[in-house]
Amino acid sequence: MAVAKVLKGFLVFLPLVVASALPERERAVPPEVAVRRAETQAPSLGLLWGKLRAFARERDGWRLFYQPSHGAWVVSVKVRDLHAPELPSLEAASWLAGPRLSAAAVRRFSGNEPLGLIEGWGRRDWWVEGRVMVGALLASTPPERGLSGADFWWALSLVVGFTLAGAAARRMRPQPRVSAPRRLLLGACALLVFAVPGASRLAWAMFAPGVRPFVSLMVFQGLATVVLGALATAAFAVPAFAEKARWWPVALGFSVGWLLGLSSAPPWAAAVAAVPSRWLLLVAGPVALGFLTDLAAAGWRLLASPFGRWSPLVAGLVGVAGLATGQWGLLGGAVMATALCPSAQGFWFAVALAAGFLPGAWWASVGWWGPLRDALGFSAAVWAVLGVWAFREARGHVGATIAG
Amino acid sequence: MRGSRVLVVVGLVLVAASGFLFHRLERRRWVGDQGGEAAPAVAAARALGFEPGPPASRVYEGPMGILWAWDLATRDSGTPLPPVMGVRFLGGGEVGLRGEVLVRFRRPLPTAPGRTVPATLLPDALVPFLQRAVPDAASFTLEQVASRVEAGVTWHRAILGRGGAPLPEGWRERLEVEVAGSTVISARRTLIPDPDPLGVVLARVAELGQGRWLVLFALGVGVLSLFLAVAESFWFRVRLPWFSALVLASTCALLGWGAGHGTSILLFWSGAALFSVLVVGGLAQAPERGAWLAAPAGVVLAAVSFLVPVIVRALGGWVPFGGPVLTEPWLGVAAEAGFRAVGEEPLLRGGIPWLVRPFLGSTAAYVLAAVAGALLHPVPAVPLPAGVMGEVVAQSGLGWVAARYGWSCAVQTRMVWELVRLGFVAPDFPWGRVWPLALLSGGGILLWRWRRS
Repeated sequence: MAVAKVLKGFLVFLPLVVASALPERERAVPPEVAVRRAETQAPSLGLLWGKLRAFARERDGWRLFYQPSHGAWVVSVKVRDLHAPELPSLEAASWLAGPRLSAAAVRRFSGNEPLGLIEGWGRRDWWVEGRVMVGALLASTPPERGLSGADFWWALSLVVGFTLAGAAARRMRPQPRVSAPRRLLLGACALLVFAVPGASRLAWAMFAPGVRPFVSLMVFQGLATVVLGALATAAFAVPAFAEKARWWPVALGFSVGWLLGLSSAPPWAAAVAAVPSRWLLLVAGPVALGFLTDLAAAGWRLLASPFGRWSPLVAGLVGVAGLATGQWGLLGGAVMATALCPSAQGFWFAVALAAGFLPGAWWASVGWWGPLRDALGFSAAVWAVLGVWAFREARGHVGATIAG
Repeated sequence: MRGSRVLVVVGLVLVAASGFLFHRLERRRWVGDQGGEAAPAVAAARALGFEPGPPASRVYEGPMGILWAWDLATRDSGTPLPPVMGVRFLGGGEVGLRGEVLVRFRRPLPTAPGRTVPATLLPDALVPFLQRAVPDAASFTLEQVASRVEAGVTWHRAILGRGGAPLPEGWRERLEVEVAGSTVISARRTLIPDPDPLGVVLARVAELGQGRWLVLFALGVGVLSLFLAVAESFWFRVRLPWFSALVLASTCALLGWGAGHGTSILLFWSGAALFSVLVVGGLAQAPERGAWLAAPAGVVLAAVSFLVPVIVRALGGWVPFGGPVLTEPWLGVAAEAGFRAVGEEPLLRGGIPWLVRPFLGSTAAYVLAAVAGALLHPVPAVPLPAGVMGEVVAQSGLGWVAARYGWSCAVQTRMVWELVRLGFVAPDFPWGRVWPLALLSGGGILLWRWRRS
C-alpha cells in the first residue's frame, strides 16, 4: 500500500523531474519584440503594410500578418529569432491595378530567371526563384494557406470519425445523466465566448487579400459561434457520463498532459501563449477538448468492441503508434489514453490531460515571463488542489476503515 | 372560405408578379435571344470575307467579374453587357459576338495571304476591315504596330485603343488586329475594366465566399446531427422512408453531375438530402398538401428576386439582376435549378428547421435556414448586406411554404423559382417560353383550385 502511494506520488511529480532533466531548448521571444524588429528592420516593399492582424509561430521565428482596413493586400513578414527579418511577402487582390511586365523586364528587375506568370484582372505577377513580382513589387513567396499536410488530416479524420461513433454510441446506449460535466462544459463554452476576439490573432489563414479584415473577423466569430453552439448542444444531446471525480485519474491525466506538452512543445502553443485571452484558453479550452476526447474514446470503445478483451492492448498499440508519428498523432494518442481509462473517469482524465498540455508546452518553449508565470501558477494550483484532495481522500478512507 | 381567400391573395400577387416580369422582359433583350443559333457568327465571318466550315462548337463566356463590374459602372444608364458567344468552325476559324458586336475573329492562314503591306501603310490597309467589323472604329486610335517575318510571310500586329464615352469612366478597350500579307487573320476586342467597380465586385464576391464557407461548415455540423438522428432511429427500429430518400439523393447527385459540380459538392448535398428526407419523412412526418402552390409561388418568388435589385438601386445601392449568368446550355441551367431545389431544400426547409425548432421556435428556425440559404449563392452588392437581404426575404417565403404546405412543396417551388430566375440571365435558355408556361400553369392551377373551393 505504501509502495503504491510512493509510486503515485512519484508519477504526479514526474513532470518536474523530466522538466529538470530535459536539455534546454531555444525559447520563443514574445511577438511584441518580433513586431518591433519587423517594423524597424525589415526591407521595405514600397507600400503601407496596414495593421497587425495575426501572427503564427514557426520553428525558428514568428510570422506576422498585416492587412490594411480596405483589405486589398496582405503582407506577411518572417522574423527569425536570431536573424534579421526577411523580405516581406505580398499577396494582393487580382483586381488591383499594376503593370504587366515582360519577362525581360522581370529578369532585369529581379536579377533572376522568371519561372511563370499569373495574368490577373489588373496586372501581371511573375514567379521568380524564391521571390514573387507582384506587378512591379518584388516580394517574398507567401506562406501556404490552409492547414498542415497529410498527417494533420489523417489524425483529424480519425478523431472526427471516433467522435461521431462516440456520439452514436451515447445515443444508442443512454447512460445515467450526470449534471457536473454538463455544467462544466456549458461554463467553459460561456468563457470561451470571451476568448474568441483574442483568439482571432491566431486565425491568420482567415485574412485573405481582397477581403476586408472586419469581414474575416466576423466570419471567424461566426465559426466560433457554430462550434461553441454545437458543443453546448452536445452537452445535452450526447452528455458525458462520469462518476464523481477521483484525484488519481485527474493527477495522472494532468501529468501525462504536462509531459506530452513538454516533450512535443508544438510551435502553435507559443502562439497561444501570446494571445491576450490565454488564461481563458488555459482554463476553459481543456474542458471542451476533454469532452470531445472522451466522446472520441467512447467511439473507440464501441468500434473496438469486436476485439473483446484484447481491445485495451489494441488501444495501447494504436496510442503508441500515434505518439510515435509525431505532432498530430498526439491527438490519437490522447484518445487512446482516455479509452484505456475506466469510462466513468474518462471525462475527468481527458480534461486533466488537455489541461496539462499547454503549461507543459509553455514551460518548454516560451521565453517570456507572462505565460511562464501562468503555466507555473496554474500547475502549482492544480497540484496543490490535487494534494489536498488526495490527503482528504486518504483521511476519508482511513476514517471509513476505522468506522467500518 | 379561408382557403379561397388565400387563393385570391396568391392570384393577385401572381398577377402583379407576372406584370412585373413582363416589364422586366425588356431587360433581357441584351442576351440577344439568339436561340441557340450560330447563324449570326457565320454571317459575321462571311461579311469579313471568310467562308467558314460548319459550326463545331458554340459556347458562351462571361466572365462574371467583367459583367458585374460593367453593370455597377453603368447602373445609371442601364446598359448591361452581354456575354460573348464564341463559335468555332470545323476546318479552323472562330467568331465571338457580344450581342451583335464582333469581339473575336480568327481564320486559318490562307495559302496566298496577298501582297505584303508595308508597316507604314498598315493603318490605311486596315480601314476596309475596320469598316466592316468594327462599327465604332472611329473612336479607336492606333497605339502600336509590330511586325515579323515568319516562313516567308510578313505579319503585322496593330494595337488600337480607346477610352471615354461610350465606355464608362475609367474603362478602356483594346483592339488587336493581326495581318498576314494583306489578309486579316485575327482580331480581338478586349475590355479593360476600371479597377474601382471591378474591385468592389470581386472583393464582395470574395467576402461573401468566406461567408459561404462558414454556412457550409454550419450545415455540415447539421448534416452530422441528422446522421446521428438517423443512426439512432435505425438502432431503435423506427420505420424510415429509405426508398424515397435514396431516390431523392440519387436524383440530386445526377442533377449535380449534369450541372458540372465536383465530387465533394455532390457527396455533401446528396448526403444532406438523404439524411434530411430520412428525418423529415420518418421522424417529423407532416401531411403534404400543397403541390398545387409550387408554380404560382415559384413565379412570385422569382418576381421578388427581380424586384429587390430595382428597390436597392432606387435607394442608391446596387445588386445585379438575376444573379450569376450561367453560360451552360439550357439543359445545364435546368440541371442547376433542379440541383439547388433537390439538394438544398430538404436540408434548409426540412432537416435544419427540425434540428433548430426545439431551441429557437418554428419561425426563427425557418428564418435561420433562409439566412444560411441566402449565403450559399452570394451575389455582390453595395452595401454588402443588400444582396443577402433580398434572398433572405425570398427564402423566408419558401420557409412559409414549407411550414404551411410541407417541405416537398418547397422543393417544387424552388425548382420553378430557380428555373425562372437562372433562365432569365442565362443566354442559352429559352426563358421566353419557360416563364409564360410557368405563369399559365400557375394561373390555371389557381383557377382550378378556386373552382373546387
